[in-house]
Amino acid sequence: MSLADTQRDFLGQILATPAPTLSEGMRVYHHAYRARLSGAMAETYAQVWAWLGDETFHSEARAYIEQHPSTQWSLDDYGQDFADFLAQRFPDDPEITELAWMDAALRQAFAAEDADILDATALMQVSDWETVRLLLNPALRHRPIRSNAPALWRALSKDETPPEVLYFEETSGLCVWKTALASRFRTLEADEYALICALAAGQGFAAACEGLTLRASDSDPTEQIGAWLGQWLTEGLVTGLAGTETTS
Amino acid sequence: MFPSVASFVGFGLGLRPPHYEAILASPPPIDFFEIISENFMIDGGRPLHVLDRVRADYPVAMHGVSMSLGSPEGPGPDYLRRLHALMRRVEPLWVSDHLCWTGVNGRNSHDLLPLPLTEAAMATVCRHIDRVQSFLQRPLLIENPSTYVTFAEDTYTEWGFLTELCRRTGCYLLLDLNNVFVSAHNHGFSAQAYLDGLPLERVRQVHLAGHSEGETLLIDTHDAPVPDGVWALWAKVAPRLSHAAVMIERDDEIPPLPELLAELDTARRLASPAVYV
Repeated sequence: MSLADTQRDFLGQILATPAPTLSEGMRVYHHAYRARLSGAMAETYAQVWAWLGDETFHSEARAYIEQHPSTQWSLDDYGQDFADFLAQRFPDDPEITELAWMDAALRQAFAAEDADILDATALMQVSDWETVRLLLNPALRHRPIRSNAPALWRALSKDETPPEVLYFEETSGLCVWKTALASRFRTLEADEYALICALAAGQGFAAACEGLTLRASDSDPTEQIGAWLGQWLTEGLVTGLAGTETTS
Repeated sequence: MFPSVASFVGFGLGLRPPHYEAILASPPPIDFFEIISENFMIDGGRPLHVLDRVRADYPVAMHGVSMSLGSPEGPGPDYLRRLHALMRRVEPLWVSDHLCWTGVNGRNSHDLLPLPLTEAAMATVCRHIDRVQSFLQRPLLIENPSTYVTFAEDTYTEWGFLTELCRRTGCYLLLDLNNVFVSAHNHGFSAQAYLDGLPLERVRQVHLAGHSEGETLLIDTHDAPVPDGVWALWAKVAPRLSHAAVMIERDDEIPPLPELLAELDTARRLASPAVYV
């Protein structure tokens, strides 16, 4: 048997479910694989674990591990599909998926590239707003949500009693990013979230604004967008400008 | 040809997150830190900032667990690119990994799996060590793993395999005495014969660690203090390893820093036994 064949057979025995009859030595490897992956998932998914409780979380993590062999060298990358997996397992409880997504996104943001936030005075030097692009925080992750998962997450992370679960008719946006080495998150109402999505997809600022049809018809779009932009700068969501000449 | 890996004599600890605050607040009296390379092969974040601050005060050794030198594919380009970037950032004493494989065919066990000790495995490991050493432009240190099975087709002893690896690739050794102790128990060989068979002059670093007990096997869990058997092995071999750096390796059930410092004191004491007159 070639070395590669031996290794395929060996790893096959480790990954096999249920465990085949194995020697004590092979059982050590069979057990260690699952212990390592479930340990990594418990570390990443701390709040969804707290929400589901020990029994359900460990049962779901075990089921996930058996169905999802690790394919990356980095253990940190394991379990990235757990939120989608939970969405299938608990289709009527979107807060579970959204909590799992937050756990993973906050962890990813923690290890993402660091960036300085953009000084607001840089905007005053923009000469051509038609072509300027806002460079968003490299740690930014976002998704639409329809529950109060951020409030649940916040309470769970402080070991406080979480509020009652709420489901909303309209989806809003949830953004996770990092400033000063600390991960943070915020819920965005639909219009602001649509604009962030357009900017994150690489659209120029002017084009993204033009594509925005404000749902609140009585609000002044320019004033509203200006207010958002000011908040993004304060929060460190914008880290640079590109695609335009600036005056000196 | 690359420069040789210079000896560094000293006593160190692993840099682990539970100790970050204590280390930054009051740098402990040790000679070096060892990092798990993969924990810092990331794009940004607090661990890298902690590492930079620690590196300003201490020499740092880089120790990897994912190079998979014994798998057919060996380490991939993303892994090597990140390892190289970290190496340039840290300017480490050396870069080490294990005699093992971690996965095959795109599947990863995240474990240090045992190799059949055959000519085919020798050729594979040598090929990947050569490739990594050329990429990093420095020799690697290769660590002996704890193993729980052996292969009927083995034609080398583990110490014979490591000796030949050093000869063929110019690599050095990271000698884990706990792993020698565990594997000697599990496979019924003599730990002393293992140590006598190794080219100890190629050892640049020593790991001292604890283990746990299975049904009949010992298991390398790195979650316990260094046990008496490993201390005895260290006391016996220490005079022949006075050129090597020594550290206590603890990866789980990590105690407060003072407990590890006390273990390190024991390692120092056994390496320099008092002379009674």
